[in-house]
Amino acid sequence: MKVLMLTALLAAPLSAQTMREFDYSRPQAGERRLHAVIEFAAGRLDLRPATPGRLYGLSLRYDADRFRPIGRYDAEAGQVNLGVEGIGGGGIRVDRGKALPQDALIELPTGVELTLDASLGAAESTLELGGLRLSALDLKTGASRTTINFASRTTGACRTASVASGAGELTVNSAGNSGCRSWRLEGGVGAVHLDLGGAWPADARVTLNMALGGVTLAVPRDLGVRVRMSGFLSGFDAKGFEKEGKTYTSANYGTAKRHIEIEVSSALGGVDVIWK
Amino acid sequence: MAPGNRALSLLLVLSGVVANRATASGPEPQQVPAPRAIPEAPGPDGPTIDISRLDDPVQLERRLRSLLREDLDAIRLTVPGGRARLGDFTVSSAETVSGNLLVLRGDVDLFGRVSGNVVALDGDVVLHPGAKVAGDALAIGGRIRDRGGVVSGERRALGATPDVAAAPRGPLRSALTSLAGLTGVLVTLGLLGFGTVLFARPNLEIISDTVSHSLFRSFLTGLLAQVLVIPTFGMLITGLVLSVVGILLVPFVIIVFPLLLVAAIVGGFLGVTHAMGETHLRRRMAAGAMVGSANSYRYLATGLFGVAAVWLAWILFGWVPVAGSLMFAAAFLATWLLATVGFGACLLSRAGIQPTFAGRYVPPEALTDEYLWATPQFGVSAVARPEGSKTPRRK
Repeated sequence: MKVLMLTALLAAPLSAQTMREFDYSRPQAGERRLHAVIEFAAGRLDLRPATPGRLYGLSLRYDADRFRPIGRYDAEAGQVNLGVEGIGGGGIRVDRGKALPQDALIELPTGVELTLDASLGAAESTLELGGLRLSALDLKTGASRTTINFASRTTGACRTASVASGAGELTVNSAGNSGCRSWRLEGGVGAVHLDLGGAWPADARVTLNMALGGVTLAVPRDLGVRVRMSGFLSGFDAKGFEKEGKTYTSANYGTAKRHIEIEVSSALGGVDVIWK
Repeated sequence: MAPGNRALSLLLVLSGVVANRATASGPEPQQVPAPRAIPEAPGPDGPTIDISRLDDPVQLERRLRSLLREDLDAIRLTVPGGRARLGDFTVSSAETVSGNLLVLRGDVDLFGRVSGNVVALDGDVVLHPGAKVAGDALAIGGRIRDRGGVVSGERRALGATPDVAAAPRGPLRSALTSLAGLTGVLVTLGLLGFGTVLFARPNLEIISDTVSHSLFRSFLTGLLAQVLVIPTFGMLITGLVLSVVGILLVPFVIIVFPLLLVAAIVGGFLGVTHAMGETHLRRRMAAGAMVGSANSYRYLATGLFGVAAVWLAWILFGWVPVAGSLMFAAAFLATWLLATVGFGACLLSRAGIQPTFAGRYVPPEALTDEYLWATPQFGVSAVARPEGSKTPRRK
């Protein structure tokens, strides 16, 4: 009887299924710039360029017991906040198999100068930023797997791109298409894969600060690369490089059309280079 | 089982079944209201819902649904700068609605113009060719169906859920949910505690005695440890890295240190509950109450129920405004204090290995054999003290 009592008490409140959908969008009406602030606490996130005529869009499926959707636009500041945030309720789902599949699709405009700030929690994210008019990128990730793609060239004058990764995997594909002259990647624990392919519009500087974890650099053969290493116990795969102290210079540096200066600071971990 | 217990069991089982049924069957079928305008609320204190800003549709839905729990025939609502309607509503192509438009439990079919925002609860916003919304459009529990209309502002759609999740839960349901959580925590701690008693009773008893005999010292130690735990971890990692040889131990330490920390906190907390239960039961026995076998299992269970009682009070009365928040704060503070004391006692006793602060050391003078030589009363002569024997002195 006691077991029956306990079952009755426990079964009653735990069987609710509370996934909700939230769609949010706005048409373009002559805006020239947009500051997009994205918060995504947990789940799967996809970001891509919006269809023409749309300023932004969010299609979200979220766990209403634990999260709430974010959809705010400040026309005067030209800022939109999108995503999902925790409400501090509903307890913790200890059984991962029963975790609700939260996902979001965010669309951002191609014809508007865009500053992108994104904070991702325990998320698996794919950000397709190619084709956007990107002026700055600031991305912070927690325990996540994040992929940033630049399948095509961005059209803006990107000043800086800053990506801070807590623990997890970070992949940046075709960074040259971003047009950003300064890249700053900070990793805590985990792996960073940086593909330096794409069409660099100018010489660029990449700063890599890693605590624990490895960095893989995919470098096109026509790119001149100079790597300065600093750190306590960090190794560098020097194949194809000439070493001078802690500076490694690619053999084609003098003749290459575009040059990338890379500074690597790593406590523990190594840098592998893949020529492509 | 006593009749009273049986009745209680039946009541609990029935409440669980009823709650399950309510969840399984989803929302109650909604009453389809006859289309009509909702009159404005009389006076400034009547219900008012402003839909000029739609940034927080979840909050707006919550307010609208609480309004709909009233009798629909008697419903009154003021929409600043607009109007409210119940049931399906159509704006014809020749018509222009000035201001905001709120439609409850019905679709909004737009052929004409609306100069403000449009909100539909439990219905769709249908934009027919030629329709124009100058403001924003929001469908809660429905969709925005675009058949050729224009929305100058934002489009929002907060879909329906099987159990209308945004509706606030009643006090009974909230209490049941919290009670289930408390039961889960209690059962988990109970199992951990019984396992500790089974396999490490001496350690648990030393921690418990440390709590009883060095309460304030344990609290201060626990407090200090909470402040120093992160710097200690950082220094440990740094030291290992700097020692070069210790680098190999870094991954091991990263895993083991948090585990040890959790074990110390949980073990300390169990020690505190053991001490609480022991103190309580000993006092009852001293007062002459009949207590069954007084052992560590009973001490633990009694202490855990004591801690749970604090949270139970919050669960039962947490819905009371202000007092509920105060009760939560009190329960949280009490639990933190106990955990801090336990953590400190665990550290002071080196996880129940050293009884230095457990009040177990007997002073040397207490080890005297003086009682053997005490002079009995009533005339029986004492045995002469052996030559050369003396009472040990404190060094």
